[in-house]
Amino acid sequence: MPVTPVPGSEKFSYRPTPAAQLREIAGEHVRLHTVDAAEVAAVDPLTYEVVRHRLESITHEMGEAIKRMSGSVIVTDCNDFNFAIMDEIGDEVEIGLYNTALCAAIDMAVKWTLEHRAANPGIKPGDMFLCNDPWVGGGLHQNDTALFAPLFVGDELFAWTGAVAHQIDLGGVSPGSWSVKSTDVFWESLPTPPVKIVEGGVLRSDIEDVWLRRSRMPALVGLDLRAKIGANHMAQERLNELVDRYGASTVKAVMRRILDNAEQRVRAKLAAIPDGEWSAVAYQDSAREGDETLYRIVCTLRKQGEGLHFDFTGTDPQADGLINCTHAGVRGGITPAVLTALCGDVPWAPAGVFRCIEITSEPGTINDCTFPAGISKGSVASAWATLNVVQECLGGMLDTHEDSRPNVTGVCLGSWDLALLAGLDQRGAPFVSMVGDAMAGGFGARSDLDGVDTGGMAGAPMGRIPDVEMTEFSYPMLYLWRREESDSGGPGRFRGGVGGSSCFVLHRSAAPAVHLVVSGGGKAIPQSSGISGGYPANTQLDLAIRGADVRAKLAAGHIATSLDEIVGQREVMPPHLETVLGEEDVYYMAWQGGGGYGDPLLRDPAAVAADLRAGKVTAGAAADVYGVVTWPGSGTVDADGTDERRRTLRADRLASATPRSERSPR
Amino acid sequence: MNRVDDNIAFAEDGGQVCSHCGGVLAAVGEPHLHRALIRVGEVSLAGPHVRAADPPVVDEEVQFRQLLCPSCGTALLTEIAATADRDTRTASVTARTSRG
Repeated sequence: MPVTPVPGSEKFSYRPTPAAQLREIAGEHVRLHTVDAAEVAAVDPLTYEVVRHRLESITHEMGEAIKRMSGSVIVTDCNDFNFAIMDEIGDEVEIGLYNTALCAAIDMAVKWTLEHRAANPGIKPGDMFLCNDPWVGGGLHQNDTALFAPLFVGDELFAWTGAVAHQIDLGGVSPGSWSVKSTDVFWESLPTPPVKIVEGGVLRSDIEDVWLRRSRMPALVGLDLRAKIGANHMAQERLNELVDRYGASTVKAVMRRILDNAEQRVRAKLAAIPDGEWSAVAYQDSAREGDETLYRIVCTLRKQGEGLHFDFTGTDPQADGLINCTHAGVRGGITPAVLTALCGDVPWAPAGVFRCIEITSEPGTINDCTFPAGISKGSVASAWATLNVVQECLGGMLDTHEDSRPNVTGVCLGSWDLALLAGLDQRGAPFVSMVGDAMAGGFGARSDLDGVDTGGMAGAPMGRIPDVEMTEFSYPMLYLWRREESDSGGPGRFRGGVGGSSCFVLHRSAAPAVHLVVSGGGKAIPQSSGISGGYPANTQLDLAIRGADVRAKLAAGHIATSLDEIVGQREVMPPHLETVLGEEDVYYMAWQGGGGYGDPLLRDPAAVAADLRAGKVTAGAAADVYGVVTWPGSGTVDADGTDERRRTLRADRLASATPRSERSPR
Repeated sequence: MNRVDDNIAFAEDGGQVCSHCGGVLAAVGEPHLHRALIRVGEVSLAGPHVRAADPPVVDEEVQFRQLLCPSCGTALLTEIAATADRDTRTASVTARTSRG
């Protein structure tokens, strides 16, 4: 897609304004509460810890609040949401542990609101702003809708609370707003810059109607809106209690110190790691239905002293498709990787951590696209690929030092395997459902441990795979199986966690077929790369079996438990497709595991034998990739046979290799 | 001896050596893994879990690539990448003999 500036759209292409300038702009219209360095220094350690933990627990309570109020499985079962407590200028002091990528840019939306809404329509007590414009911030694609609220103490704007959640459908040409034919944003859900949807504590019905009118599922999206309002209310009640007890200046001083503390501790960790430079590439196959282009996100991580510089120079130009992400997506890729790699024992205060980080991304590329590029898959396409490549570079950096080495984690679940169903459910009502099973992706291997099997995704520490029974209750689906897949974890001295597969049929829909949107990459190139010689995880596979004999088998009392048992016409799904799933069709989806760490020929043979017994690897992989021979019957390791097999494999490798230095550069 | 990763360490003179056999991977002044061997082939070399898409889903050729220690054959880097791309994954680390 050529990058052509669109007059009138510049206002929304946001980069956070420096704090001093932002205070000056917003300060003309709203009084901002602040504290000075002496007040920050005056807080005693005990008070600091008590208030800090209270702030942390409030974010957890926000999570419980939204889960109890939302009716959407993607929220209640998959935990695809998150929260933040921010200071008066939107700097994030605490975020929840749910989908951390969703909190990567909510500060941007708040800062934009301070700049563009403080004068008109104003920022007042009891107001809440809704935003699903990823160029402004808030979320990473239009479905990630943020609702954030100023908290006033007296007549001063003291802080902000914010909630972001994936909405099941916000319009656009395809159900679920996953417009796989998209060539630009006008095929997709309309981005909505911050709008005051709650004014003085009252939900504005006119704005709410504008918001819900775009959705195929307005009742459910309306419920999610109220869930986010409730979560913000709950957080603000708790913050008010905290201010009443300790005073506004003390609470604010703690917030400041949290940011300083996070920054200082990350800087100290970085100082102990050797300086260096690491680069990697993340591939994506296809930008939309019918496109067969391979797209690259290139990352060079430079670590110098106490700082990190993520440079994405060399990344491909933005595409005529739905895989692009805005600058919010770049932050969405960096934030989860940095928090999990460097901040296990540091407060998850992104505003403090990001003081140590510099980002170079080029407007007009697939991970920093300009309006009106298509972005409806941005969160799980280019933002996700950014996370992969950042995680790989960070893994290389952490591997250089004995203290940081235990925090190396390979790439987890390289891409999102989307199957989105829409139609009439078993009760005759319209439904849209994103199958959330790929939430159980394989975790990347560590430098001293295997990756967690079906452990999840790097961006969502508290992500969950939905319960099968709840899925079948909610939607017209019947599962034949959902399970771990052998060999899907990247081989290595430490193996990547295995991913899984699901196989289901349409069941008792009030219509003879449902709409099926397929959107999943990693079919040409595995997207969970290995580290330190470790192998990548599996390629993704999605398959429809048309006119299958499954129902006849069910009637005869037999449930198919493998693809080999299902007779029908196999249709391999490309990365992007809109199609239908009929009553006689079966759908199979196999998502990715985690990347491996180290050479698999160095893996403990006993661990391979155990994997073989547990079905984590097949006999073929054990022999040909790990070089492990086991005794028939007992399944124990044949030590001499393994030594011989590994010598043979090493010799075969060397025999087929050539000097690298003789290769011509690209 | 400090290291780059699981397989690559720094020699006393600052060159890169294999941490398993001591084989030289790059002498001082040479690029990262300059003396490594490279093995390329079909993506299925990565194992039964990596399938060539059938039908193909991208209009570029992709391949299995592996950098090897020239002495012991240990895998230093393993990837599936576009055939047209070179040096997709690099590292340049300061050789340090003490913390700080």
